[in-house]
Amino acid sequence: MLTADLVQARRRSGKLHLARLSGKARARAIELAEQYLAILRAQRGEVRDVVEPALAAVPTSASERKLALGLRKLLDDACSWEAAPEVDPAELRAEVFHRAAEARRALADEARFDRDAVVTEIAGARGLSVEQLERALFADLRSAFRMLAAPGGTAEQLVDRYEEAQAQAVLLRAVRVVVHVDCATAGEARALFRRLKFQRLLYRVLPRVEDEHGYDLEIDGPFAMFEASTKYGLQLALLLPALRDCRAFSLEAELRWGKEREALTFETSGGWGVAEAPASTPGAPADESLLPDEVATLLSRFRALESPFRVGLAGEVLDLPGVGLCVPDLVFEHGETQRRVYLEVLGYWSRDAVWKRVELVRAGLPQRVLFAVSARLRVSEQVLDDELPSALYVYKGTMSARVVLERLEALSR
Amino acid sequence: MLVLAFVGGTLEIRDAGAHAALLPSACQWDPRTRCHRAPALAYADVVRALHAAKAPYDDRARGYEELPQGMRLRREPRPYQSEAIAAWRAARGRGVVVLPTGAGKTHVALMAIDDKRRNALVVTPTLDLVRQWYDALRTTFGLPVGLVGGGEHDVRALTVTTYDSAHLHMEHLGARFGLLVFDEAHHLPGASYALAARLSLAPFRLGLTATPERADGRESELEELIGPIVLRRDVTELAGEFLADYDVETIGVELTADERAEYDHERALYRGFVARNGIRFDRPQGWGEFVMLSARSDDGRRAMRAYQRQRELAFGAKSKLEALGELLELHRLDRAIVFTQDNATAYRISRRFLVPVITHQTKVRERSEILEGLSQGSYGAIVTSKVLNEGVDVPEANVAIVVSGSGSVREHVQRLGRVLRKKGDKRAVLYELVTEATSEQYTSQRRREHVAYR
Repeated sequence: MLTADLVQARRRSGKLHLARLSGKARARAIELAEQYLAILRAQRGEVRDVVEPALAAVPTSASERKLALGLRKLLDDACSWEAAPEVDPAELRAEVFHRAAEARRALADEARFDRDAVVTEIAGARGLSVEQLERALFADLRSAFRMLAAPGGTAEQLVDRYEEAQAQAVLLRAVRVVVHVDCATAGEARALFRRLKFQRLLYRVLPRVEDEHGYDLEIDGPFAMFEASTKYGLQLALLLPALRDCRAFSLEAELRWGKEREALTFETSGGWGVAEAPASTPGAPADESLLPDEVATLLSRFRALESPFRVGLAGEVLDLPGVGLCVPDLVFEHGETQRRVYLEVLGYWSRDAVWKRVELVRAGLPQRVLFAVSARLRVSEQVLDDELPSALYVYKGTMSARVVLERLEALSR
Repeated sequence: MLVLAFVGGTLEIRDAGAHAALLPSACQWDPRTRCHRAPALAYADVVRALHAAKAPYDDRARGYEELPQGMRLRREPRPYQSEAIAAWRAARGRGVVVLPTGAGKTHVALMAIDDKRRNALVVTPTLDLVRQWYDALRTTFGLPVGLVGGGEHDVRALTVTTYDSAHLHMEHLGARFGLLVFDEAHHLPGASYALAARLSLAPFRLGLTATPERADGRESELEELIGPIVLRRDVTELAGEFLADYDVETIGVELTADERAEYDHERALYRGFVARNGIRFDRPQGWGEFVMLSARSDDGRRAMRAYQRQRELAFGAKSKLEALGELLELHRLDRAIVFTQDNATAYRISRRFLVPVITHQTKVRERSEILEGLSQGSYGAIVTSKVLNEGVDVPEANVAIVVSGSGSVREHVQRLGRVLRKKGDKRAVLYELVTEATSEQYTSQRRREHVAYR
């Protein structure tokens, strides 16, 4: 990952803008990347003290300094380095320095310490030449590490990684972010919320704009409400790959930038469904082809039934702050009453997830939700009382569209 | 019933109901989780407020316990150490003790731990100090001691860590200690390290330092993070009786003719750029302007290189190494610590004079062996850049040689402190090598603006 000091950005009207590499700038970046890769591949087996000056000798202008350092940082991270001394340097140092201390203590007044005599004596005793001993003395320092493997990949890939790494490095200085995220499936959304939980971040689901797909989330950490701290910057930066795995997202970060910790905002967007990251929030319709097989099968069977419910992909997060959330897969709307019932398929993976949903309903989740749970999890439907707005549907094998319809009717009364 | 819980360095207060009005102002409503929340630092205030109102509560936050035993090894405290503990107790176990290096700050902390007998975390700036505290706690309390940092993560009732690890891990460790000891506490104020204090609920806190003052003036935050200064003694008050007597000697050296020519050329280049761009170093933002402008043009980059080179020449003059060689021979029967401004010079000295070197790259085991060698006399001198500036305890060391350093008063006082620990009737000496007619003379003047050098 890049560090924040290597980011190439401009501050304008309270915003931080990354310098995007396009046209000539991108071509120059690729040219530089090619030169660095060629040097590293030619220098395999050399020590860092040789490799680094070789990289630094590639001519760059003052305006290219950060680009050059950034590319070199990513390449250094991708190299394998190893200390491979011929003798144990720490042991050798102890022997040489102890002998030198003895020699110095034994000096008569006015006599001078003879460094070469000490080195020659120890080298002789160890069967080394003086040059070998001099080389081995600090062979375990970082500067003496040897490159075992040079990075793979092309210059273009390195430049793409550099651009991604720039956005991540900016987020290292974020105190909170607001994300509009559009997930293609409930599974994608659940993966994102799992990542939020894993990173120990807190979020608030903001009210959704009418007719817009996706969710708005305000994300920071527990302590953030007391102090604009960049403490959660690393966790927020690590969230970026999870957002890129969603169909589309746009993010606005509140930053404390530079040594003076200037309050700035930063925007970025992307996602797998967006070829070129657009400036505005995407709102593509939900795509049924991306549904897991068991949900897709239930959907097609349900549509084949005669029923008063219209069914579609759910696009909401049902959040009960302080307790938890669920991300339903489908939403059913009654043609006459307009009442909505959600369905979340929990399958057979986690009994723990089922108990969390039960707790959520008991704590006051207001929406009607049918949680479909495989019988393999050995959970009874009775754990949720009839008077609660949600219910469990325990199925054996595959979900039955008819049973789902019966449960929906019961819940929507 | 009101429930207290520790979550990620904060105190969550659920089901406060009518008792919400009792909560101190640090507690705020958190709409994300529908509960009240406060920085963990406010734990003692919250509990005190609930106690005072006799409000029932379920404390699920406190994760620390009482120590099974107190000190096994007791030493008669010096009078000012007893005064420090009495003053700290009077401040409800929260406060900073300011004592010169070598005056026995560690013993004050051991007495505080013995007094409160709660799980305690000691936070230090360097791995060398971690090692030293580890030994002191284990010997004094006869309990296993945990380590967090430097590749270790072993949390025990008595644990030692670094500031770097503490601010990163306190959101997980913050409930597990009832007493925090901040060694070299002047490091604590600041955006990141201060979190080590804010994310912990420890009701008892002790700060130790010889020099609380900071260049950025943020020492005022110590009162909120730890507590007020409860006792302060200066080096001149304790020298002789409790600290070794000492001399300070500045040795001027000359640049060689070649060095002088290069120094003058590089300095003219750098000063020329500064003058052309109207940069004034007497203004607070002067240095920042220079850094910013130097990055924008080839001319500027050359000026920055010229600045660095003229500094290298002044700080690393050949005559300094010759003078150092003479001092090492003069003090060949003493124990000397040589200080440099940068690692490259430290390694150059180590290679040239064949003396052991300690930098941030030196592994813990080798550091221990080197310090033990100096202590026992198998080494007569060692060289280091900045990692030994603070706290490391080698009572036998009696000579400090500053080959180069910054203009920081604190750094210079700390370096002097390395040789001040009382041992028999030893007399310590601090040499400072300064290149004449260079900018280093000004640096030297700035760092000697302290009572210890008058």
